[in-house]
Amino acid sequence: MGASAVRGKDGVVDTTRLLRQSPFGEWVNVFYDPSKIKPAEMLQLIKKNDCPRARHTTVRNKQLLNPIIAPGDPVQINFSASADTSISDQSKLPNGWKIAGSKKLSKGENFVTLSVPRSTKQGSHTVKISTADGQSVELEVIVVSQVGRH
Amino acid sequence: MNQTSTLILFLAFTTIVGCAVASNVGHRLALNPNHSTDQVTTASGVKFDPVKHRVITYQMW
Repeated sequence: MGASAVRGKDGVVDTTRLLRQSPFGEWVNVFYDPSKIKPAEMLQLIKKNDCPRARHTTVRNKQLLNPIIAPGDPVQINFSASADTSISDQSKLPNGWKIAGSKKLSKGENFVTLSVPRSTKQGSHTVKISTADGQSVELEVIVVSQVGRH
Repeated sequence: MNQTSTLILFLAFTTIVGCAVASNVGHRLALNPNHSTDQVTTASGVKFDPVKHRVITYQMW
C-alpha cells in the first residue's frame, strides 16, 4: 500500500512520503488544490485509494496542518484571528524560514504558509507566530528525511 | 529629418511602454505591500501556491 494511489489525481499538487522513524511512524504529506477537491473529499480519496485508516494528524495542537515535513516542504498553519490584523516582526522562525504570501490576517480562519529551506536540519523546530494585536501561537514542527515521491 | 522623426517615434514608444510597466508594478505593490515574491516549492521542487493550495498530513497504518 503506497501513496502512489493519490499522486496524479485531479487536484493533487504533490506528495511527500516521510521516513518511518519511531515513534512517529510513516507519514505522508499531500499538497492539493481545494478549488478542485475539497478537504473532506481529499481525505476520503486517501482512505479509498491509499490507506483506509488514514486520519488527520494526532499531534496535540491541530493548528499545524502538516507538523511533520521533509526539508524544503512548506508548513501550513490554520490561524484563527480575533480581528483583522497582521503577522508582526515579533514572530520567531527557525533560520531561513519565511512567511510566504501576505502577512495580513482577516478576522476568523486564516492559512499561514511558511517556506522552509532545503538546508533545514532534521529534528524539532519551534515556530512562534505573533500578531500586531498581541495574539501568538507557538508550534513544533518535526523535520525528517524524505523517502521519495510516489 | 527622417532620423529625427525615427528618434522621436522611438522615444515616444519607449516612454509609453515604460510608463505602462511601471504603473503595473506600482499597482501590484500597492495592492499587497506585504506580499512575498519568494517562490514556494515542496521538498520535491513542485511549485506550491501559499494562498490557493493546502496540505493534509496523514499517518500510514
